[in-house]
Amino acid sequence: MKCDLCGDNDAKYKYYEVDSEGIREMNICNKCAHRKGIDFAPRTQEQKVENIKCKECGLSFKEFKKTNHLGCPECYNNFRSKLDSIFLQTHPGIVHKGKKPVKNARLLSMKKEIRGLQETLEDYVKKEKYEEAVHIRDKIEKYQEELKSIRRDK
Amino acid sequence: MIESLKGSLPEWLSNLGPYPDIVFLSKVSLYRNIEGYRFSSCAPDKEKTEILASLREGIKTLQDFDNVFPLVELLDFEKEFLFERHFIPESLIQNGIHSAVAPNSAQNNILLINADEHLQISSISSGLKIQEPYSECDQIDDILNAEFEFSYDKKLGFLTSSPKRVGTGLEISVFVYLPAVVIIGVVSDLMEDLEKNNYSMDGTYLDGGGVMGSLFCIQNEFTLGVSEENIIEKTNIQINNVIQKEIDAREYLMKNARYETEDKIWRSYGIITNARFLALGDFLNLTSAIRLGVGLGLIKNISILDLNRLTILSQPGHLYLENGEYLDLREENILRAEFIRKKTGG
Repeated sequence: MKCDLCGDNDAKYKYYEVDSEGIREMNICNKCAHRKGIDFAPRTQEQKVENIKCKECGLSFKEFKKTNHLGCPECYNNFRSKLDSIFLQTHPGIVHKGKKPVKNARLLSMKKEIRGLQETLEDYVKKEKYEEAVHIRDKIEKYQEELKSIRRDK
Repeated sequence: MIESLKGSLPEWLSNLGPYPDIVFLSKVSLYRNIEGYRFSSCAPDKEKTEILASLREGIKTLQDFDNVFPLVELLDFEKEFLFERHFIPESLIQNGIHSAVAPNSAQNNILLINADEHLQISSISSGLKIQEPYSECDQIDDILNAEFEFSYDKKLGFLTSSPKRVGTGLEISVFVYLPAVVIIGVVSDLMEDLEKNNYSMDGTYLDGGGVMGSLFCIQNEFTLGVSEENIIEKTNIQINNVIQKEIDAREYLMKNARYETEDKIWRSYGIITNARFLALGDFLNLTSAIRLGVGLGLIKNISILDLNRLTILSQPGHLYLENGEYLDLREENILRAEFIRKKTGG
């Protein structure tokens, strides 16, 4: 396979470039790698990385590679430099784009409040108390709008 | 101990979802870990005991999860039963001293504690349905998140023992029957296609010779750098492609080998309704052919819903539990054949 940059030499390395448009995978040759200032660690250093241990749980990178299971959340920090390339083997990016945890109870209490109001609303409708029902419905709508804004701010 | 589950069918065996003759079920899972503890693979027993105790307590805040089954209190065939219902992974049948499983009363939502990760929130639907079970998991996740701080990193998202799940921690497994794809021999092409798009495709029931019953599980292998909505959307597209491949293969068979295909289907029907011994592998292969027959409109007196139920209820763990104790292979095969004859009117 020829180098994706110069097109002349044989490609030796897989190279990922990340920018605002996403991730580009390239196969590049030795010369272009040096030109780009990429530091391919020599073998001895590679071996050192294998022996790095997580300061929290004591798992070594070598052990992780055997089982594909990390020992604790801190492993992500301690092995970070090596993990990005592992992530990119299957994941489309290295930055989380999904759901965030509910850090405060505001969202949950709001949801609870809405559930309670919905029950009251059903009750009023059953009892044909329509005026009160409309009032509750407006309140639910207001709370749902608030809920949306909490979710956006998360 | 799990008698209460035996008596009732899970909700996903009581109704049919989209593409029922091809898609057996969809299972959506969210993986979470509790902050302050090592991951399950590395945590010492003391930590696992604490995690189990605090999650059992936390589950009480959820409605409708009244039964928590610690696996250590179950017999092996009871655990097999749970595995067959897709509640626990096969690896926990022999292990899982610190694990517990909590299904809701409809048995469509399942919480699994101390398996690969501290917590696996799952929801199962019949047929190809991903959004609804995801919403169920999402809601449970929100409620439990008020009780627990989950391991989370701003850049990497939810942290999991397996880097394959980091980020969203969202795993979608869709179980598909592909009998025609298997017959025309294009399974490996399909697997390659899926692999290129970061999906795995594995046989569900395996024996030495290969995949039994042409049932495969397709799973996303990417969870980071992409939103939950995106994973769901991409998975729907991939599964729809797979479904189309099976439909094309069926058309090809009916066009080019109609009598051979019909013969295989009707022979399978004949055997299953008359056999006096039925090994699990035979049963799975025969019902897969019958399912094809129902899908093609050839067989009308047995429904996909019947086949879905038979597939689960004829598994060894279910037969043992029904019988109250282990059966040897001969007894198991006789009981299975009897059970199926009774259910199919043979």
